[in-house]
Amino acid sequence: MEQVQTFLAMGGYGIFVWPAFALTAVILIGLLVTTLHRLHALQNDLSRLHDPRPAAAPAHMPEARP
Amino acid sequence: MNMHRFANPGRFVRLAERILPWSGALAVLALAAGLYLSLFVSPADYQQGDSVRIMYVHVPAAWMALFVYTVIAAASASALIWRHPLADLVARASAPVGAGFTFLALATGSLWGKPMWGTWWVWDARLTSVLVLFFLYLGHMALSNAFDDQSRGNRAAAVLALVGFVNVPIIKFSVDWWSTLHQPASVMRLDGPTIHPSMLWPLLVMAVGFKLYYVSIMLLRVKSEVMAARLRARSMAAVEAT
Repeated sequence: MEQVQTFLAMGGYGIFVWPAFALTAVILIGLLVTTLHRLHALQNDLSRLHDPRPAAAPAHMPEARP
Repeated sequence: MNMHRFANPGRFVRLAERILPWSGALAVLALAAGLYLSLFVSPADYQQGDSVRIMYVHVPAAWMALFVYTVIAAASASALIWRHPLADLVARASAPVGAGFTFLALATGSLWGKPMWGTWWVWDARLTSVLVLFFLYLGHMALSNAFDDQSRGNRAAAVLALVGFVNVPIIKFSVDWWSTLHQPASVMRLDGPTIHPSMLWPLLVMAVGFKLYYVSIMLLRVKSEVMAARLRARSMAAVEAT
């Protein structure tokens, strides 16, 4: 128990070290979650579009449009 | 080398899907190992005590902030010069990730500056130029979505990215050119790292983890961009058919 407390105290710098690591975790996980969320939403939208043409139709890049 | 070999978005998505399981798994492994090494294995600094552990997230985040911006600038150049169809998508996919890394570098630096320098923030060359980098990322994201016609937005953002690239060497050499509270480079030096191996290894493992994380997120986001373009093309076609 005392060892855990010593570890968490970080030699008195705990109030700086832990927020730094926590913030890193929040940003990295947050970016991952929003990225996956958007990907799944787009996958759903695409599969819901019952396009009669074959799915292999080439994707149009933004430049292809006037 | 055929630049346009991976220009086909469908082929790129298939390639991304083959890379993603590996880059994702390796990113998790490297980040977990880096976390263990930086919190449990690496020693406290003889001057800075345990506050030095902030370095293991601060420095990789700052490296990635510069690296991702360099990727965006290179992608923007190939989008403007060669009209490479995936380049715009790589830039769009990377900008929010780079902004996240830059924010982390600023915030963790602030958390490190308070106990070591006695202040959360100073307007010196290094800190100010990184803040400018953060605004460049935000400007890029805003510009690329500012027009109904996304290709116009992408082009404007690409020009911004190239003009703003001048800031990257300024950040890198700011600690040498101006007097600053920020310490000079101790890893990426021409005469080799001056940091002790017991701290260098955790830092490098963490940096590899950050890079693999970026690669994985970027591939996922490019995949999203390809699907969004497909979706737009289909709804355009549906409108034209009626």
